[in-house]
Amino acid sequence: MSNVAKKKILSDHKQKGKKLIPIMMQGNFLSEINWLDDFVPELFWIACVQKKLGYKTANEVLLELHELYLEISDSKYPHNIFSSYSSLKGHQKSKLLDRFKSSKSYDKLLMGIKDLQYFYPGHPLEFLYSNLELSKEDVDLEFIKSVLGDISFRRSKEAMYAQALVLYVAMATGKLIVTKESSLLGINEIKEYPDTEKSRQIASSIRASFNGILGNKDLTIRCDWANNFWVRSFELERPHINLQK
Amino acid sequence: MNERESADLNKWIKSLKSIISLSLERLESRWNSWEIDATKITIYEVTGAMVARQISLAKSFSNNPQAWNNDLAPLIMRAMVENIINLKWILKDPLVRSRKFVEWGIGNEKLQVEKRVREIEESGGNPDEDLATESNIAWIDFHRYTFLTEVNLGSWSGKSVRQMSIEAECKDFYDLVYDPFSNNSHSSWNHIGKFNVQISENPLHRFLRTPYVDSGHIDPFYAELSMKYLSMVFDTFESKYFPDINEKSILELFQETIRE
Repeated sequence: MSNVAKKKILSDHKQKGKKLIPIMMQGNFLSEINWLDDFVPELFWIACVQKKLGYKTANEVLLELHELYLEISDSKYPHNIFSSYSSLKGHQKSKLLDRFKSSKSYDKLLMGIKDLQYFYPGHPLEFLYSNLELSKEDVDLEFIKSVLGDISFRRSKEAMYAQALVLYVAMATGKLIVTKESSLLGINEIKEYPDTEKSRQIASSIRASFNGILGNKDLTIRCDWANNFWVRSFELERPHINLQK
Repeated sequence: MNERESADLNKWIKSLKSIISLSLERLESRWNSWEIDATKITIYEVTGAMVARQISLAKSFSNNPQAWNNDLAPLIMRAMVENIINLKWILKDPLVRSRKFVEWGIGNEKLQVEKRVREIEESGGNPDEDLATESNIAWIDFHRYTFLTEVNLGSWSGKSVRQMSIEAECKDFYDLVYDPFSNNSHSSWNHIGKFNVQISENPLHRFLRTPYVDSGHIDPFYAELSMKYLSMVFDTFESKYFPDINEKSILELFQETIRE
C-alpha cells in the first residue's frame, strides 16, 4: 500500500467546514422532496379508485370530479391532488356534492374510496359521504395495505398510473399546457408501462413534470390530513417486533 | 449446523490453533535472538508487546467462533488494524515514538487513577483501601513516580490515526479497513442501520426500520482476516528487525494449512 497520488474522491463536492456538499445542493434552486411523506398521501386516493374501478373508469370518474371542482373552487391551485379538495369552503363542498350526486360517477367514486373513508377519517373528500355510514364488514384493511404496497415505490406501475392521472386531468382541464414536442402528449402510452421503451420514457417525463406540481416544500395547499397520513397508518396497525422467535 | 458445516468448522479451528501455536514460537524465536540495546529499551518493550497483543487478539478470536460475525468480529479486527498502523508508525522512528507511546500510556493511567480516587472519595470510601487503585499506581510507579508523571490529554502520537497512516504509508489500509470497521466500534448508523434493523414489510409502516438481533451465524471470512492481520504485524516487525530471514508469512502458512 502506498500514498501515491490518487484520483480525488467527491471532487465535485464543496467543502464547508467539516462537510462536503453535493453539487446539486450548493445553490438554493433545489428542494428535497420525499415520495413517501410528500407524494403518497396526495395520490393514495387516486390509487384506491384506480384499483377498485379499473384505470379507464377511474380516470373518467376522477376527471369528472375535478372538472366540477375547478368550476366551484376559488383556489389558485388547480391540480387534483387530495389536498386540493380540503381548500373547498363549506358552501362549495355542498355545491359540489349536490352536482356530483346526480352523476353516475358519484356511486363509483364512493365505492372507490370507501376503505379510505372508514380507515382514514377526516380526509378531504369525506363530505361526499354526507350521512352515509360504513360498517366494518363493508371495508377491508388488506385492500388499503395492498394499495399502499403498490404505490410505495415511485416507479411501480400503480404509482406511475396515479401520477399520470394527475397530469392527464391537468392537460384535459387546460391547467397544463404542453407544446407539440412534449413527450407528455403520448401520455396514454403509460398503460404499457414498464414493458415498452416508449412507456418508460413517458414515465420519466411524468415523474419530472409531477415534481413541478408537488415538488415545492412550501406548498401551502397541503392539508393536515395529508401531513398526518402516516401517523394514522401506524395507528391502524402498530409496529410490533418479535425478537425471540 | 449440519455435519458438514461442523466438520468444516473443526478444520478451521484446528488450522487456526496450529498457526497461533506457530506464531507464539515465532515471536519467541525472534525475541530470543534479538540483540536488545538496554539504552533503547522502549523499542523492544513496545514492539514486543504489540506483536504479543496481536497474537492475543488472534488467539482469543480463533477460540471463539461465535464471535465470527458482523456484530463482534469488526470490533476485534479494528483493534488489530489499529495495532498494525501504530506499529508501522512507531517503527519509522522507533526510539522517539515508542517512548511517546509509553509516556502517554502511563500519563493516561494516572488520569484514570485520579478519576477513580475522586469517585471513591465522593461516595464516602477510602481510596487507600482500593486494590485496583493500589495496583494501577504501582504499575505507573514501576515506570516513573506517579507524582512526577505528565498527563497528555491529546492523542499519544500527537496525530490522528489517519495522519499516522499517511506517514506510515498505509493510508489505503486506513481508508478501506480501519475506517469501515470503526463504524462497528462506534455503533454508527452505517453499521447498526444495516445489521440491527429489519425493514417492516407492512405497507402501513412506510418501510419502518425495526430493531433486529441476528440469531448468530459463523463466518470464517473473519477468522481468515484475523490471520491476515496477525501476519501483517509479523511482516512489519520482521522486515524492520529481521530482514534477512526468509520464511513464509503467517498468512501463507495459514492458507497452506487450511487447504490441506
